[in-house]
Amino acid sequence: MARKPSSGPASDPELLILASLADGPKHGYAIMADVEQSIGATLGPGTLYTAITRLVDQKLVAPEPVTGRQRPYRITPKGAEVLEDRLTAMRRVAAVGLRRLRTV
Amino acid sequence: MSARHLLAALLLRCYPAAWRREYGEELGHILESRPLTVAIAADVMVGGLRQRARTLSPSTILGVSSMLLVLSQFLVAPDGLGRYWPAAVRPSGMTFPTLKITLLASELYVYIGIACGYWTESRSPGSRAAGHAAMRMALIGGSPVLLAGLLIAAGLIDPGVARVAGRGFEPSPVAMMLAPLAATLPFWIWGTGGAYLRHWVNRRREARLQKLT
Repeated sequence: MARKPSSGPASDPELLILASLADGPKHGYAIMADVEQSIGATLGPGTLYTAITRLVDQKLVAPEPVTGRQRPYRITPKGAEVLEDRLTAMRRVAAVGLRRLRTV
Repeated sequence: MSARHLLAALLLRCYPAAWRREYGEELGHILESRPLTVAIAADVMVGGLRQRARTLSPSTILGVSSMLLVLSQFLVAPDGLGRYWPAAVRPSGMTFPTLKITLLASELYVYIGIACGYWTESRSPGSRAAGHAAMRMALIGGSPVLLAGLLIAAGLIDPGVARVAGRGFEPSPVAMMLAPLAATLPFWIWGTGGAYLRHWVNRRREARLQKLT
């Protein structure tokens, strides 16, 4: 299915959504467009809303008041913390992997 | 209503009603404002099924699946089960040690019980609910046998159905009613085993991550 690449950070829709919301609230359509433009990954609407539901349940993302047929979502302080932890861990793994590759 | 609106509305029906009340409007808006390809339709359908699965407990999903499997064994040729069914559904010493009802005594149910415990523990870590979830699953899965025993005892169906259930010997209706209940204890063990398996997988994953960093 075209909705998500099979590997790498782009295969984690929740991480992509949190990263997209890091610079301010966005509604579903805007998240999809942002992820596509800035990260180059495609999120299908079903995948997007499955991930949003989970993030809202985990209180990592919170809904804002509805505007028209769209509802923006914002990252919560807990969500920002989780995003930072995960990105830091990814950076550490990437640094180790790249360093080891250079020594081969 | 245009074909696109109709298709979007149909796709939204894949989701549970409570979910639709919360997110249906937004998802509907996206579906109506983007090209609706086969890949997107499939993505939305999978999303809907996942939402439906999320609202059901693992014990319900696996219990109903086991129940359908047990029911299908009732419906398949009575004396041909041993020959036609794969080894996975043949009787095993791992299940139902006290009352031998061969329809239920297959290692497959052991694996489903372990999976139920594993899944339950993944959803609610540390809840200690895995054993009870597997017991519930065994009760749901064994309900057709229990019901058949009840109906035979009441004289409402032909006792011949017990021959299917017993294959090789004829269990009494009482044995058929008790078998699913007797199964709950071993299933508590399999479910708890599934939870330990989940812990073990988690520990290995964490250890691997630590080693890498």
